[in-house]
Amino acid sequence: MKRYLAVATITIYLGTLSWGIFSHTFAVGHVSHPAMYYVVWDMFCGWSGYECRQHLIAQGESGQYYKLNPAPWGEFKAFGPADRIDYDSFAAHSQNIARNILRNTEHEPIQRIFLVEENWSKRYNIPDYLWSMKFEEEKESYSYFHTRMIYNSECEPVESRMGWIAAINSKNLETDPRLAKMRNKAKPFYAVTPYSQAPAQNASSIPAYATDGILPASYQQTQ
Amino acid sequence: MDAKLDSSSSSWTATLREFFFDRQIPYGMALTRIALSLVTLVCLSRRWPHAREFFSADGAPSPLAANYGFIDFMPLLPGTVAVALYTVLLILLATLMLGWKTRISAWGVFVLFTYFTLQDSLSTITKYSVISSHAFFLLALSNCGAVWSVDRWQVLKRQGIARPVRLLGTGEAVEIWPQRLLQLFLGFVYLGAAITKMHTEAYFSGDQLRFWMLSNVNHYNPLGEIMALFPAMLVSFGYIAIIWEILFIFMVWNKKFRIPILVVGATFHAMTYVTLGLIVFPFVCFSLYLCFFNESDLQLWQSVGRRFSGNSPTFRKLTRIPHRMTTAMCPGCLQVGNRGLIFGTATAVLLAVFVEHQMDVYGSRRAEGKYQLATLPYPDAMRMLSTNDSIREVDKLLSFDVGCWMTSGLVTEFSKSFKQGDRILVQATMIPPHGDVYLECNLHDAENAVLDQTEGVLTREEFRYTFTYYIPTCLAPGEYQFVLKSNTEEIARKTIQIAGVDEACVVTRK
Repeated sequence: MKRYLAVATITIYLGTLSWGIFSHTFAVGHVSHPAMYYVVWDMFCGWSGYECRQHLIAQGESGQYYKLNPAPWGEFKAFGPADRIDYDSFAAHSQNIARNILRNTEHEPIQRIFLVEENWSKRYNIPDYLWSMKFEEEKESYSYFHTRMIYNSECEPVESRMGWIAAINSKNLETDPRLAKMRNKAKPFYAVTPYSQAPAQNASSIPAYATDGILPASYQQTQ
Repeated sequence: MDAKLDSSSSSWTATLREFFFDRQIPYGMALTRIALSLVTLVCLSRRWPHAREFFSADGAPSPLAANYGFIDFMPLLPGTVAVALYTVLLILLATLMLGWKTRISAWGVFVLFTYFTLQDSLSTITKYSVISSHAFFLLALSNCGAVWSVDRWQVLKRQGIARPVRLLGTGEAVEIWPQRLLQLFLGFVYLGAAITKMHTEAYFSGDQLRFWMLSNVNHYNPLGEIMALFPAMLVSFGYIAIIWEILFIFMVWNKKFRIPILVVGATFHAMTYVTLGLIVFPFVCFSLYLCFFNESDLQLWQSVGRRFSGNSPTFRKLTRIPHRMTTAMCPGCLQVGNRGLIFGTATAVLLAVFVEHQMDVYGSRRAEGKYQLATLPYPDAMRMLSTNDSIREVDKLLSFDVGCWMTSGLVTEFSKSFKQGDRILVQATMIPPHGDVYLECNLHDAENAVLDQTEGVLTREEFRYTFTYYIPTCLAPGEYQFVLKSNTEEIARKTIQIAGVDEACVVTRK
């Protein structure tokens, strides 16, 4: 009996690991369930040319802005110099962080909270001594800010936007006049109001930061 | 023929049976148990003061399941309960390391460790903690306390052996299938990692590694920053890593290749510290590598130890530290007994809960009242809340390299001195997303007069554009500059020296 149990355990365990490899290789159900995180080995799968940090900013009823992070009681540096919130690449947990900070601090009533991305080129992470060896120009780092989420006073999301890099890619596509023209032509139009009362078609492209902007193929979700 | 088939199939099943169900003393599993518990204990102890904040309903947990769209997938505990259970986890890690109530400790660690890591996807769960979860599960299935453990010492003591510490190393032979599963698991991890690399299109061009080495989200990585300036080298390292990852699961069983494969692996993980700034990940992997340790390795190390101990008293003292610790600890553990252990754990948990309460993590009971939010000046707020939807031309550039050699599509910069008649490659590597870029590369003389102009278009999906120059023999020796423009805006300059052919010959003759 003990041997049968052992054989069953071996079979199930190796079968599960094999499923993880298969699922990851062919992108079949690899993000279908949290358990897949335990059998898919996609370490260091992503990369970006820009370093990203995230800021939580609250606006009070008086119009005054407040910094929510780093937390007033101190930040935990888990894996390096970045704060905990900087690892929230899906902007899925920042509302919990904001809610916890607001719950445990004294402040005027808060109207809105913003999750802001700060991005700068990773070229500026090159230390000064190496920079002078490699480049003849001065090192002048520049940060690009981008509002990712807006929450209400209860920290519930009221507006969600794509990340800055996706927004830039989207803008690159939308500002292509040939694509914009084709998009306007191809967009389905359902005449639910009489033609004479319909508003004039706006030829301008959707802003880059809008949630429903055009996404390049690489940003499309497969699930 | 049938007899031949039968014999081959029976030898196959016999090999498989021997592979999984051979009875051996689990030295490897015991070492993994000790090392992994120690690494995890250190790693999790840092998070103890934040247990309420990261893992409980009284804080800001970040459940992994939410990233997959599963909200409220696992229940969140009240703050005090989370602190108490987190303390239990730390105690169980310590007892698992000692091999005291090994089986219960391992199951407890597996359940609590997996639960807590799942509740904090921002600062606790990573692939190394997932690897650790697998390892704790397999340790719980195994008899990893059958050697080098308090449990083993107690068994020997019960058998009436007067000096059990001496015999502690002999251990008890057990079925090794959990150890085999752990070894196979490592192979699966590397195979999966290799597939990830195959999926990452910028991996084989060295760009992905380059950007990771320039990232500052992990710890200090000085070597990575230097290596990022030599991307051609990264391409070859990338190929070596992927070949090794694929070969691991097939070669590590071979007696000849086992040690080289493990040494390459250990070097690879050590390099991730200096190049990527990873610290815990390599230590977790080193701990798991110990599961390949077997009886013949033990004999080898014992003979090496004896040889060195004979020559060096200091070394002898060092090697006796584990023996002394065991001598000091085991009788104490036996005296404490089961009731004592339960009582001690309960006391430690109560004390931890009290200390955590006194620490007042959020400062809500401070005499001066709760913390105040830091104000943000209006101009700063406006700067941060304005969306930048276009990138400066200069920020699109990653590197501007000049050289005569190209490897894997990357120009290698050995020198900035060239001679008349040379072919010079000038390469601009851009950072996505750069869109479609109109590039110009101009050759200027020392007075900044334009001598030559070339142009090209780098499309949005490309990383780099290479301009090729043939330096005419009529070009006077001296100092020149390549000037790179992106969408008509100057973004970089590189000064070079051009020597005459005769001058170069003189230098060569010298």
